[in-house]
Amino acid sequence: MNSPLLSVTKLFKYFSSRGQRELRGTPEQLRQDGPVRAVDGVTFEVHSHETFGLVGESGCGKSTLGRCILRLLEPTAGSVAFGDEDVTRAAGQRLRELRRRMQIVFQDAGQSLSPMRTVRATLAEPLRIHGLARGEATETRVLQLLDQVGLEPMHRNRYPHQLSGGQQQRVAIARALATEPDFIVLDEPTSALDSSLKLTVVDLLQHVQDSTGVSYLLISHDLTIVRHTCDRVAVMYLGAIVEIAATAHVFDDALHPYTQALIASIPVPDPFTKRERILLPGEPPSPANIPSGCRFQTRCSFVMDRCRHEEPSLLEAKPGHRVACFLYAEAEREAAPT
Amino acid sequence: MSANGPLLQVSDLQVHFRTRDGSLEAVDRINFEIGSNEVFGLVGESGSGKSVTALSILGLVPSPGRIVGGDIVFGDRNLRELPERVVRTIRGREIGMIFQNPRASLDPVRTVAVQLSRALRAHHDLGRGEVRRRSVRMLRDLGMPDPEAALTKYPHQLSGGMCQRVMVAMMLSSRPRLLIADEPTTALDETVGAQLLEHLRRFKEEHAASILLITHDMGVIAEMCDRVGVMHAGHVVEVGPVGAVFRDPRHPYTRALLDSTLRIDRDSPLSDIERIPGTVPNLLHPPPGCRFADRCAYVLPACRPAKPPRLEVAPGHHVLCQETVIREFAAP
Amino acid sequence: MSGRRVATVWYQVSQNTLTVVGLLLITIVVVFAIFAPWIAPANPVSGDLLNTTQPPSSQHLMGTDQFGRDIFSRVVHGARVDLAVAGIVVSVAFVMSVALGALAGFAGRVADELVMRSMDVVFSFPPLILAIGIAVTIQQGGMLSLVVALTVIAIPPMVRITRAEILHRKESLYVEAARAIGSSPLRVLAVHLVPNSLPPLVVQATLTFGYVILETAGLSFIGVGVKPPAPEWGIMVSEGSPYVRTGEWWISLFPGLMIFVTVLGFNLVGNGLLDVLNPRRRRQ
Repeated sequence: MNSPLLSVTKLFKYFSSRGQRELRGTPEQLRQDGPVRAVDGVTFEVHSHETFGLVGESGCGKSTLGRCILRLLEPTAGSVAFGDEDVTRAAGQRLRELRRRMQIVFQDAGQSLSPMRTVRATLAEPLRIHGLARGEATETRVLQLLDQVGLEPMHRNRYPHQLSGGQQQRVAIARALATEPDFIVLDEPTSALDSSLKLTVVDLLQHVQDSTGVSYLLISHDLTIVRHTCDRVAVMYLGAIVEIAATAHVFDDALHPYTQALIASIPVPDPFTKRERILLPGEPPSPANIPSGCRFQTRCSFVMDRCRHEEPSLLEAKPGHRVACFLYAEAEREAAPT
Repeated sequence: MSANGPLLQVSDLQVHFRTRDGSLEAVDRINFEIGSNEVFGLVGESGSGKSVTALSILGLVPSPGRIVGGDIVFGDRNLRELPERVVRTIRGREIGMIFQNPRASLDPVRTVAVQLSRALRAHHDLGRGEVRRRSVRMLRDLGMPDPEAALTKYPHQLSGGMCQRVMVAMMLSSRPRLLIADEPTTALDETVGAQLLEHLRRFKEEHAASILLITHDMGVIAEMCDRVGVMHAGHVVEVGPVGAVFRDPRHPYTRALLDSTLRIDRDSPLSDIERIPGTVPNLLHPPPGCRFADRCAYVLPACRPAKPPRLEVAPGHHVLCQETVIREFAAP
Repeated sequence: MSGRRVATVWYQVSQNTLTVVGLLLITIVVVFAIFAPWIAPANPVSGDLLNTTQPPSSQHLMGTDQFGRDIFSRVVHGARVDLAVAGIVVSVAFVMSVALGALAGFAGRVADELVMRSMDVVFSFPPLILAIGIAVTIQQGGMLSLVVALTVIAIPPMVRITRAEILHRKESLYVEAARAIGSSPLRVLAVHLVPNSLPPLVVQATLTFGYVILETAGLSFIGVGVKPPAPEWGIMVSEGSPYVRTGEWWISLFPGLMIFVTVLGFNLVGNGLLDVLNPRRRRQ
């Protein structure tokens, strides 16, 4: 494979558990004060033209990770490389140029659009900031963008509250496309939408990717959508990636006990398929109080002595399939714990 | 109460919302029944009227909505003919409800202990220590981590899943004969939602209770329900046993709904998934005939002017559709 | 705000009877102010000394005062003075509050502390007493001291509102989205934060308009503000007050009524706007 478009290396984001103060120092030093460890040493890569899925339940740090990649939040430690640019160090003009090439679509499209600005003003803003169009050309480009996301020219005069949820999400997507980015973070782009609308937004995103070759980082808790759209998937639990592999491997041959439970908990619309039920006990611990050893050990039914003291690292258990679990510590032990 | 009759029978229920622009027919003459010790599912897109149906059963239709016709018979009593005071007692003791947003349905300024003990004391004559023991036990049964500590907390200090557990504990403490759950897992994480469904299943088994489960998720219906009603635009377009409805859907909307559902256990390409065209019609001025006609792939000229008849295609399996459509639709 | 949005706001305003009543009252006063020379039948300053303290009649709609001046004419001209003072005060206070509020809410903790603590200083005085103090200290007399005094006491509440709005909106998703497309902090402030923070400020400004008129009248009544013989409602009430005891009630009553009507008008409209511009109360 050629060099990755985006590579995230040992990324950390800690929040102070008291107040809004930005934390400074290495993760090891900061850990003494019991910070909220939202992102706790994450490493992965996204390739060109790829859709990479990031799944996990609320509070696992996936949205924080997305924001750190775009520098909407300052990472505590670690690096994000985009092409040959170091995102974590960029400033001024170079950061602006990165913002042109990396975009984001938020879950709540309605909230992500400035309420007092028309669709036209919203779409013209990135064009203007990056000097991509002026005067007449702006209007043409706005119409082009609306067309690209399946909206009508008349929609450019609307205010966000005059649009339906689906239309708002289309405007948000159009804004992200305005600068012709190479990479878009999709932060739960379909979660706020009705099931029938979900598919149309997914279709739109797929169509955009086919025509522009953009890469996506799809952050979602909707595993069904992820299964049907992503090339590779990473599963996050309490700030760390516990499993990462090609989509089919994750869904059909999940290795990590958490991934297995997560997938088993999604109901299947077929009363004749009997699936094994895996119920996790209790709730995930707080990211301010991550268990020692393996972070999943408090809820894992395969927990061993070693898991309580030692943290498993993300290792390749099968070709291209990495998992952070001692059950797969030795390459010979291939059988999945089912 | 007759021993084998349904626990709840809803017939010709009509709910209208009065608006500035006229009356909105949110629920239009729907019929279904829920047997005892049965899980009945109501499924449909948002705006199909499933939540309004649930609120009607509880007598809690929000203003400007009003039940304008039909009967809701619970056991042997018609809830629509009883005085408000009696309905309120039934609502507390015999019919319980779990809402989608559990935090909003808890009292924000009282601790979990206070709210639980109120619910317990309302139905049982218990001493202080016993209330506490039972509260802890209920929460532990529901998988609450550290139930002792949870009792001292306020709703805002708990996660959504924990609030849902408290809500469920309160509801179950009265041992209702019918539990109405409106999108109980939608706001929860997957693994927590799976726990909740398991608790509902257990509750039904242990207390021989019935559950009305409202959801937009065909998966939840398949895993939980004995029978299902499919709602579209204020109509129950198909109702029958889950197996029959999923294996052999007889209404075009049911089939479209099933064919448009993604499965976690299948790798089907997205292009093979059906998209239901259009949206739920505006219920202020609904089409005179079938409300699904504009979105239906099997629509016939007869569907538009005339209301579709309610046909029994198999014992206990009803469909709201023109007979000719069903016949063409069922043909291979 | 574009025409379409104004139209929506207008539609919602017109749904509320009380707001419409308020608008009507304001319109009357504004018409008085603009067309004063044409509406007033007599000169507001010079009187007919042969016709002093005449009760209301067909010739003098609201009677005459102790100098024989036509009260109706003075009331009509008084609208000019009072609206001018309030207009200047509210405009200046509005602009300054937006600037100070934005500074406090956006420019970091030091700026915030500096601005807000100085606002607290102003807040810690009873407003009218402070206004009297300022007006007396400036000693220029007349309009200027009045305007300065009233502006100073009008600013703090408006700064607080602006700051709160900006702080709250700084965390919003659309600001994050604006940063993500590469907007500079200044642009985020000017294009997204300030415009979206204006609605509650407009409401406050409308309400302030009413208070300023009341305070103008109050200060003039005790002799700190506008000086006689200018036709100002407060002065007129003050000048007429000794005559109320002797039965010449009309001298004070009509200017007093005008103050009441104007303040009421602005309050009704302010409350109406509060409903319309508050997104949580806004109907789809």
